[in-house]
Amino acid sequence: MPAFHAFVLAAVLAAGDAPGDPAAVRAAMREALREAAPLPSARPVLPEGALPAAQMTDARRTMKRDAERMAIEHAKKGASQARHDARGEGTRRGNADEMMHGDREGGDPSCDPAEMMRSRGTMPGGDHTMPAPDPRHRGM
Amino acid sequence: MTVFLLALDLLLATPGQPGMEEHLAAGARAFREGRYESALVEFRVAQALGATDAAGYAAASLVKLGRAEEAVEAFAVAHESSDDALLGYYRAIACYDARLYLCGDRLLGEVGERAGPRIAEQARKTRAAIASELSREPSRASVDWYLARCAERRADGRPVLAGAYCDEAVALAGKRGDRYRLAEAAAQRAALPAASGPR
Repeated sequence: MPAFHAFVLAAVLAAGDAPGDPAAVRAAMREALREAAPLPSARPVLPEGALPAAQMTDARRTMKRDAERMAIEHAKKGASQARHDARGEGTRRGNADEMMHGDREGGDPSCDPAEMMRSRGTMPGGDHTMPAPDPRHRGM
Repeated sequence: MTVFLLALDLLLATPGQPGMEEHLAAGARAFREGRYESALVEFRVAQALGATDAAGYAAASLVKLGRAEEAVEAFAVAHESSDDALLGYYRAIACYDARLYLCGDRLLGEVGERAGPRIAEQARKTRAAIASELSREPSRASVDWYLARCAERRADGRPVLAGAYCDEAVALAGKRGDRYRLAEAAAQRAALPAASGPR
């Protein structure tokens, strides 16, 4: 009789350990695979060259170049205007030294190309590449 | 005492390795619930314990995790999945997502209706998209890209992937009128182990 008990105990323990019918597990897995069947990630496009992740794309490079060009053009215009103003002032005062000083330091600081690019976030290390459409509209 | 030992034998005489089925079941449960990281771990353990079908499930989990290149490698050793249309579809998507379009197309062609009408329809659409992209002559830059990827993966010690990229390079170069770098691609491919499973 004790032997019978041992046999029953073993059978119960074995049944308790069983993870379930292996066939049922596989059937459930197949159903899960069917339900979760993935779609392709994107439209197929044959690759034609890869850039390292840190490298700029052509589009970003173009935007950055455009921002630089705009900043330089704006700075040139500002410098020309400042020179013109300073010349008028210098003529009035008859002081050539002051005229030169005005050209370098008396002008609008926003005419400095570096300042322009900094304000637009296009200096090296800056992440913004799109210049603000109109500096007057920056901020509130 | 003899009877007790017999009972003990019965207790321990579970089919296969102990725990193998538990891990397979846990993996299936995790997969069903969308916990693909957990599913992958469970299937890997089950695979290590001897569950032959776990390799294909682990590869499918990698596809769901977006780890396409690893999935391509995992499917290559999952021999059980070679005649399974459902896993064949997952393998095709792994190829596709790794930009191995010709590999993906070939596998999708083998899926047919066996994986069910919804998947068969998706397979048809995907093949049509691949055919459209491959309808024009591949550029030299594309052949260069696949050859470069083949060399990179070989240098990384991933010969299965290297072989898959070289296969694409050979096929794409063969589609060009000038057979651009075809001989080079074929030579590189020949130096790598043959692909396993359906190609």
